Amino acid sequence: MTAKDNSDNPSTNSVAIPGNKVASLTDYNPGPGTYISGNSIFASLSGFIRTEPPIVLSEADEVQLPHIHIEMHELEKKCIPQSGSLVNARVISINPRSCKVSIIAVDNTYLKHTFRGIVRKEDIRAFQKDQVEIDKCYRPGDIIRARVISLGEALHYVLTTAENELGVIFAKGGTGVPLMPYNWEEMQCPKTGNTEYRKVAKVKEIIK
Amino acid sequence: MHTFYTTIPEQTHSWRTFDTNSASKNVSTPVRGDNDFRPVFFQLSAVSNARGSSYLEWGGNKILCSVFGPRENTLRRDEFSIKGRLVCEVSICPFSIPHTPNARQQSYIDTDRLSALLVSSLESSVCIDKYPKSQIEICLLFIETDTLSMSTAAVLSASLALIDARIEVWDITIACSCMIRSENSVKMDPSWSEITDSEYVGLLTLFYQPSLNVVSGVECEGELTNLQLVKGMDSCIEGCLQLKKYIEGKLKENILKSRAEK
Repeated sequence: MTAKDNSDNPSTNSVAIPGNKVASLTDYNPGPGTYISGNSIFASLSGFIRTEPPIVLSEADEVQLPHIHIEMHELEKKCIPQSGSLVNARVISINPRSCKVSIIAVDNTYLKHTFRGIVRKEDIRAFQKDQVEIDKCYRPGDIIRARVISLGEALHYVLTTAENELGVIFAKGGTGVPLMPYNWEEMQCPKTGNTEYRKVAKVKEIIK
Repeated sequence: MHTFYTTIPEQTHSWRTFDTNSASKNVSTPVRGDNDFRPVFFQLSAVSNARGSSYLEWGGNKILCSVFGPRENTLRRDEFSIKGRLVCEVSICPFSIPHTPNARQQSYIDTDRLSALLVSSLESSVCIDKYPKSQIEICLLFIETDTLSMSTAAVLSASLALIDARIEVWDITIACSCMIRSENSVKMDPSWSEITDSEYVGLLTLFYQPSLNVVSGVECEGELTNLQLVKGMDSCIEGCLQLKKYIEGKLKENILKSRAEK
């Protein structure tokens, strides 16, 4: 009951449901939404079957196979944080050793359910790691941009902000007014002119 | 948040009590052959705020199943695991059960048994290693049930909801039950009126993943000989393949239709 020899109708041939044989491993490379069993590629999602021409890096390479995958929706692209992914998180609480956050977005995709994360003191910045004081970097309520280092233990994802582009992207000052970035470790209140300490992110792109 | 009913509160009544229309009471059920199924109807995306959901009518069952997640693991005592977790919650509407269930019917109305069954029969088909540290929740609601084929309808609706939620699965899990008669003949997908037959020996329910050719669960009732058991399993697998063909066609039709609407 493969998708290929199922029927003569071309429209149903281009659609797969989980468990359908999509192609043979000798013809295609498996992509997202598929898995390999034996010498065949099977679908693990339902949807349209799409093929992509092979990426040729150099002509000396041996002939690359075209990729085959199941058409993805926005939904399943990034729904859980993986190590290396960029996340937006809200600071929940701080203590002298670490700061607890809840992850609200992964790679610019807003999450329906938040995940818990932790930023350890030594992962906050790359410069003068030993002199970091957490309350001069993050305050509860700040929105930070961070990178996932590892999946951590049972509870938390371990995050880092030790890059110029990572750190606080949104914070409110004592008066409740959103702060403006002043320099890399200070933010300024546009109303009173007071500055507060934060580990400020150098935001390059606009985050949707 | 969720209420479980294993027995019926005194205030509620089955809708059948109020069904005064005599015509619907004496509906003559069409005679089925031994290999025929009762009609199966399903619809996907029936619940708007779930990630995926399904509505299934099969025999005397009407089930609404919704899938949530992958979300954070709520079991705090769990150790770190690279694999995800499948959680099932089965609830039964108080009005869904026949008003005075007999002892046998009562024994089927067990939400804990059903949710354990769902987890064990679906866990092998879901790619849980693609959802590290998270859990996938399946919530099942029986709107109406004849209590006999609860497990088959529940597994089928849950596996349809998983497909609608676009959770990666190795294969679709199909469930099928059959009644074994004394002279070793088999009747597929029996209803209550057929099971009270004097020739009834046993009831076999099988959960099957057709493309992988994997049996993920078997439920057996009654005393069966070796021969009867083998025969029952063979015909259940055959029935599952038959059902799969129908469901596969409907699912593909759905995908093509949704594209045409866009």
